[in-house]
Amino acid sequence: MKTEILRALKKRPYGQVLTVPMIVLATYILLALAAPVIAPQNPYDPLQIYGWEASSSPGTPGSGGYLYLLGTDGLGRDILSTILYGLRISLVVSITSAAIAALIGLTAGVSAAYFGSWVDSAIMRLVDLQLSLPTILVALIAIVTLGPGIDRIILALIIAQWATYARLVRSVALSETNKSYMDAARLMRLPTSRIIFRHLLPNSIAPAVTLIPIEIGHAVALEATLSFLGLGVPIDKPSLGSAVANGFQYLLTGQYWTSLFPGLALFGLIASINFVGEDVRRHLDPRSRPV
Amino acid sequence: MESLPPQWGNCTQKTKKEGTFIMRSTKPFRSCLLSMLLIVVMSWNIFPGAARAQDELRIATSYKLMTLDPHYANLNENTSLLSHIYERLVYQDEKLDLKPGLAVSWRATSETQWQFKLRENVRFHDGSPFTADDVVYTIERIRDFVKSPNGGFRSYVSGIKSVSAPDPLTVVIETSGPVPNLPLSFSSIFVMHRPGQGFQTTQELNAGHAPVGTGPYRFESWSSGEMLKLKRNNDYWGDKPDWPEVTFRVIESPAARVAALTTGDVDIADAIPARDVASLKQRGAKIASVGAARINFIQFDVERETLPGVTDKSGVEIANPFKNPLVRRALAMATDRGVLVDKILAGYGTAAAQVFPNGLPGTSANLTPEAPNYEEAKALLAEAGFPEGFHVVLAGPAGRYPGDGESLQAIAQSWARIGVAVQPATSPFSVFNTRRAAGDYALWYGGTSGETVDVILHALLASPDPEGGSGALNFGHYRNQAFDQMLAKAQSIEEGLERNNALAEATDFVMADQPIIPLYHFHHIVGYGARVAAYAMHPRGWTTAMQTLPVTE
Repeated sequence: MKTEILRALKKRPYGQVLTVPMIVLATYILLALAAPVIAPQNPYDPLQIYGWEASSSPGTPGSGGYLYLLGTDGLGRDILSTILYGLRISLVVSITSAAIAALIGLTAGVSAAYFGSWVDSAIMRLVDLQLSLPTILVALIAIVTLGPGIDRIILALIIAQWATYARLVRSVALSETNKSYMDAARLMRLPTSRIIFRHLLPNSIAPAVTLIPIEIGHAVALEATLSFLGLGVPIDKPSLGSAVANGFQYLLTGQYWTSLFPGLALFGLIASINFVGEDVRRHLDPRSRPV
Repeated sequence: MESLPPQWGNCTQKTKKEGTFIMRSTKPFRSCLLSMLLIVVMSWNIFPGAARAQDELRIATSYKLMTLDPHYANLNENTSLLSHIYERLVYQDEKLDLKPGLAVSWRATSETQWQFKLRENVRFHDGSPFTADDVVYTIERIRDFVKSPNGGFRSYVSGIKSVSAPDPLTVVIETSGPVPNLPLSFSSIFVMHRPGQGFQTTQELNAGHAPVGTGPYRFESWSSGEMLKLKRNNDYWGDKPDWPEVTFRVIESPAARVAALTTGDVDIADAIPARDVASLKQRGAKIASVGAARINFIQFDVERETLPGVTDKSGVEIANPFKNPLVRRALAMATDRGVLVDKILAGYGTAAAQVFPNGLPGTSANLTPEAPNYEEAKALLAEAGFPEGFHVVLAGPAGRYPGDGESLQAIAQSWARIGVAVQPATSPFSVFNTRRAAGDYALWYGGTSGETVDVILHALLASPDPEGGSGALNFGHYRNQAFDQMLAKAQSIEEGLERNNALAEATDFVMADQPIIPLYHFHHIVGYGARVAAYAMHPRGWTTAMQTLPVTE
């Protein structure tokens, strides 16, 4: 299967599959990386915010010598800059948490499949327990017990997501454990860690890899939800989700821009991640590979 | 309103219905005949009870009624709604002057004795007459019986040595020392009816029997924290109440209250966020507002040697900078109240320099809110030994007062300009309150209301003394003996100009030391729909049917 991944990547050089969602996603990532350079204002630096220019409509010139292209929020933060900086938080949180959750989930799933018996039952019952609760509830409980903060959100997202990986990988690894190359490895008395990490894991990883982009999309949405509920990032460092929440209370007042633009940005981000994730899945999935 | 008494409400204030309502139906008759017919037919079928709603006043309130015991907790949450059922001996009008309620007159017969003459021909809702014995029962119930978690109303009767009823319409009260503002205390106390024997417990009141008062509306039904239904008391001693039925619905979310008012689900919604006022007006709702007799402020911990979250710019803990009045003064000078009032409160607030809005009795004419002066503030800070500024965590509740969370961030913007880095930290009010009491905060955003200037000064700035009851809200442990003496002296003077001047002088004296930074007096905003002709605002901010004038044909 490892070779299949490589083959799939080789067969489909990027020139051929460069789709609109990919371009959008790449733009998002570039914007996030370049935010401190291109954003007109640093919305996390109180010295750069002018309280008197709060709730300016899009296109109003600001004291900082630049236009408020998308207007300002109720505290005078430039919406465009808030989106750019919020993007950084959303991407860092979601990618980090998806990567760590995948790592933990993979290890747990493969271990469950390889060792079987009580290890399997213990890990999988934990997975069952967690998957029976709604993801948002698990994340909420985690945040409430751990306290707010960006690192805590990452932790909460890991707790909420690892089980999905574990269950998927276990089912693949279970079928792999019965194959003859595994018998051979065992007969050669290779150390257990080597069998797991060099033989079983690489051969069970493909479906999990396809899951990662989709789970990143979920993580962005989950972080935004938590921040929207006021349980995420600190109030003076808005992420996309809390920017939407800040503007939400102004929705009925005609100040549409405080909530609309961060909301659109968030929508575009999640949509492009999901489309790209779907692409990746299609290209890696043996059943949907074009003959 | 944290724990200081809510007190007034102009329950008996009956303004004359002014003018007549002009019907605004200008559309041609024929064009809307069909739709009118349709609406009538449809509503007839779908809402058979709609006709009844004609007489019913529906109020969406933020005040969450939690108990029917009027002596249990001294919170606007309870008193605002219970003021329909129970009445007080004395009322405060819109200018906070005392007016007769169940008592028609009162006078001090000696330094330590007061005499109240009661109103004749007043009956409780169960038909029994109101007598001096009921007043005696009320005072005894508060003093000797009710166990309230936060002291409740006990502080109002703590100075009373004995109370007697020489005849059914006279109450004589002996106090342990001179209590010149005793009548004011009675503007907070709801009078209950003496049952056969013993005292009514809070559980009894919450559970079964309808609460019996003398008020303009009688109790119909309730559900704790959700709703209260009232019916007109047709035997009321004053003007006949306007509404045959009143229903309060507790709606805690401001957006939901606004929505309920716009859709016509309710006739009145209180505590409207200032940002929603413009759009509400556009949709045809009417707005009434008044400057609240209350203060929101920044309070410093001035007692401890070091404070949590207060460090120099490199993160090293420093000695408590707020012990130095220069630092407090500098921070006050660097606070831009204009942004708070104009931007965050959308104009529905008054910049503050003292505990009550300027002009109310006991306020000082010398204190006016200043525009920020960053250069001078920075110089003061340097003089105090902090040329580079420092780092603080500014705590506050979220969603408790209008503009609370936003204010923290606006203050962070202001103070950054003199080098003070602020990390705003908000939490739900219950969490905030617990952590503040536990000493987790170095400085914080707070709010207080009270009947008069001296009540707030006494609670917020007098040296904390659990025995004597002073400094109940002085969480910063500010101690100033000279001020304590000035305040005590002012409080010993009879109500009147001399007392107010003494209070103003004490305010001048203490504010020069800047133990708190007054931020703003927010405005109470009430929105009302087409069936209400006018809503008379009161600085206290209760929401009552008595303040609501119906549209008359």
